[in-house]
Amino acid sequence: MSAGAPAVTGVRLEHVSKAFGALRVLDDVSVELPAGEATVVLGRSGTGKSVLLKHIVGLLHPDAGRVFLGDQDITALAPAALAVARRQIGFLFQNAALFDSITVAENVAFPLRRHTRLPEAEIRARVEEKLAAVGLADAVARMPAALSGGMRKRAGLARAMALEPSVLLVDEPSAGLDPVTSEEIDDLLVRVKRERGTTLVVVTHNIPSARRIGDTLLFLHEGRVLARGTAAELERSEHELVRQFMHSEAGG
Amino acid sequence: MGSPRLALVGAFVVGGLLLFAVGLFMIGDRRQLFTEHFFVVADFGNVTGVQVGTDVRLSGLPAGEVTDIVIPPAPGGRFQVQMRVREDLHSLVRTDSVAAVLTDGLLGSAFIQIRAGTESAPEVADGGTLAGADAVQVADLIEEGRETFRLVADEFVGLRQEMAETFSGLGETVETTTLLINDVGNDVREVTTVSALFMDAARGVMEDTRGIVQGVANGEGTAGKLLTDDALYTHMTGMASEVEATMQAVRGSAEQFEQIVGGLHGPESAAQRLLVDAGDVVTYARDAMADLAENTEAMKRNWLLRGFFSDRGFYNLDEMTVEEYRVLLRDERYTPLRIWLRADVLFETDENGGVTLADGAEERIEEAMGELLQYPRNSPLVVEGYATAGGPGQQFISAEPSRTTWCARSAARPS
Amino acid sequence: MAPLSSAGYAVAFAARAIREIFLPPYEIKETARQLYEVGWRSLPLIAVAGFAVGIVLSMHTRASLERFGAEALIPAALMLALVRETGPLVVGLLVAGRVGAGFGAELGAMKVTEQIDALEAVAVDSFKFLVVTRTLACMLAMPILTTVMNFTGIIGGWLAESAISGMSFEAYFRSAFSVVGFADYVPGTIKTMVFGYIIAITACYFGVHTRGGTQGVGYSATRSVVTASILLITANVVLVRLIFFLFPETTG
Repeated sequence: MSAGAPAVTGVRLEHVSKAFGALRVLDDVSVELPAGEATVVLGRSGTGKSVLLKHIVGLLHPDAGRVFLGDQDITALAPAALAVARRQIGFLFQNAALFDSITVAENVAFPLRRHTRLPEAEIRARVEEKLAAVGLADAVARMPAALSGGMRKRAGLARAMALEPSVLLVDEPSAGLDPVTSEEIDDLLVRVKRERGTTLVVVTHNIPSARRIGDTLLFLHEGRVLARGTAAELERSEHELVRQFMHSEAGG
Repeated sequence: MGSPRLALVGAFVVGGLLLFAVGLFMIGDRRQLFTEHFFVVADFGNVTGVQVGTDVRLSGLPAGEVTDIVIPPAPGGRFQVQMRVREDLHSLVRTDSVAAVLTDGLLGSAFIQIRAGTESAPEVADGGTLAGADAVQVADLIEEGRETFRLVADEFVGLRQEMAETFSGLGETVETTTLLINDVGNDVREVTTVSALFMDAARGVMEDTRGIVQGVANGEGTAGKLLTDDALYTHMTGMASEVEATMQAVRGSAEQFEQIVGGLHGPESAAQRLLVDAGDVVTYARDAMADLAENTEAMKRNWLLRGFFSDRGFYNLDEMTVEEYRVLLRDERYTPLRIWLRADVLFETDENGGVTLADGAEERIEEAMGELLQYPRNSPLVVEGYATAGGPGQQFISAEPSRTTWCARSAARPS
Repeated sequence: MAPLSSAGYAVAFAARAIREIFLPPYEIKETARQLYEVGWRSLPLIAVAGFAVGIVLSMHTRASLERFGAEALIPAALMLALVRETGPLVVGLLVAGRVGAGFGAELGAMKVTEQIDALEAVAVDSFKFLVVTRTLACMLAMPILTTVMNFTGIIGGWLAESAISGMSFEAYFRSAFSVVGFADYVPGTIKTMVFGYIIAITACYFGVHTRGGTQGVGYSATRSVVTASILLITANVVLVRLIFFLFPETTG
């Protein structure tokens, strides 16, 4: 995959099961996350939304089933090949997971330094570009600990975008943020998808956020995909639980 | 990772390695690894405490270390010890140099001492061989001790002979100084007595050590165990040299004494000169004898000899039984002067049955004491009393010191 | 996890660190950064401690040797004690305290804030990047720190001695090296690499396996120090035995 013009890559899960001890988190999940679209994974806490994300990037290995990135089965990859595959993926963690010991700019530069041979000036230009895109141009030299929650998340997004991935995984973009900041983040994500054709997979339980971002919504319950469709379709779902969720957590 | 930090890491690593190298250099320097050196080999039958790295010294100077020990192919062969020696000492190591395994003080470890050779012998070649003197073992030490004692004893016998001759000659030629000579002569007699005892003691050492060596060989008993102890070994090494030093001193005093006495009866010696010098001579003689007495005393206290002096009843009258005293009297080596006084001359019984000193008894005693004047003032004086009746079951009453004189009284009930 | 499988896992973890030290890619920059943290920044601590240990050892050896009239042996006895055991062990325990706690807490924090996952997500081998670099840095820093301790120890010993006998530093220094052999100096120093390995592995193991948020981080730091110290002291018994076996002249 060339990094310059991101190819459109979809993600497909086939019969993926995962259990932690006696707890079955994913139970024979088969789902298509189409390329260039934004899929929002909904569900109550502890229903395996984050676990699903971590399977896509290979941080977790399924007990059974396969995970395809484009047409590559990443569950069958050796560590070195997996590392190569991961360069197509950006991951924004729930708490941004910025590296505490280096500056914001170095955080964003980190993937570039690791995986490209770009000259230092080029790296600096890219870092500034990404940070400007998330509205953090003036936070370049600050340490992560000195940032607010919203700023951290935006910096994390800048880092996740540094390698211009074809797939962007986002874990709880609005968690711990005020509605205004949350909305800003959502807009950023939508813009990224629109401008770059990036495949977005967003885990959240914030319904307004899901509506703003999601082309397709998935509802996970007890390790299975209970419902799938647009926001409007889910509101009219045959499942009481899904309808209830779409309305009751509307404000959350 | 800024570049100043990188520089500090570099400084840390390089500085640390340099510091470590300083330590290596200090050790290597001490072991003369960085100075020019040559190798010599010495063979030993016994390499107790020697290993690769053991210090080598030349006349006490740090000279190098042992680099290799070649084990002999068969029992009875000798160990070849290869040593690295500083080149600047090469001129002192001659073909007649001798290497010996020694121990560094009371607590120290073994080292090899190379004795500088003689000027006439050529320098030993690199890789050449020196004669090796074996480490002193306990058994060897005892053997050596016996030898020492034997030599010393012989010397004493000779000494006594010489002194006796000296004195007999002296007695014949210089009659006017009888008293003086007697005074000195008695000291000499004491010396001769000591030497007689010493011979005895030396004989005892030989017998005892033979026993101990036997015991060690069989690995039995406390003595055997003690002798395998390093500390004791060192102790004994020290003792042996101490004994030797003491004997040296004794010999010295005796020679000095002989010279003094010799001065008294040279062919040109006249009574006149003698009388002038008499005071000095006596003083010198007394000093010499004081030294001798002191050295004898030191021998008595010596760890190795103490036992022999006391075991052989060397004037410890207050701990003696009558039997032991009698045995002593029968020993011809002592031949004390004994003056017999009859009881009926000394004592008389009054009407109440009490015993008092008879008339004229005092004069008789003083007369007897007159004969004792020839003995040194601190000679033991024993007053014995014998009954005409009664069996051989004598009663030993008491012995007590009278000033420096040991005085023993022995009596049987008067009949 | 059962204690046995947990211990087996820890051993596998430790073995993997050794193996991966020699396998490319080499994280040279990160190792240098850790060397700065572990080595350079421990210098003041080690220097001051060495100085104090030297003074105390000098006073003790003087008290003991004076009884035998062997004052001349004080520098040599102090050096022997320092080089063979005191230096390595004191440095080991100090580094276990400072660095062990640091690693335990740092990696623990990275674990609970998903920074380790974030590393993996940007296609970095987190084990290599975090554990191997720290292990190598510790193993390199320990002998150097021990050497520093030995030399500051001599200086401390000399100060204590010169206050009593007015001995010159040169004479003291020469005398100090009069008995110590290569077999005391080199193995005593090199064995601290094993101490460094134990400290780093223990702290990294607890750090990487931290659970339970901020509280878990503190727990990991404490456990790292305690376990590393105990393992270090125990391993020392085996090491001393081994050194006696390999360098028989040390026993004299």
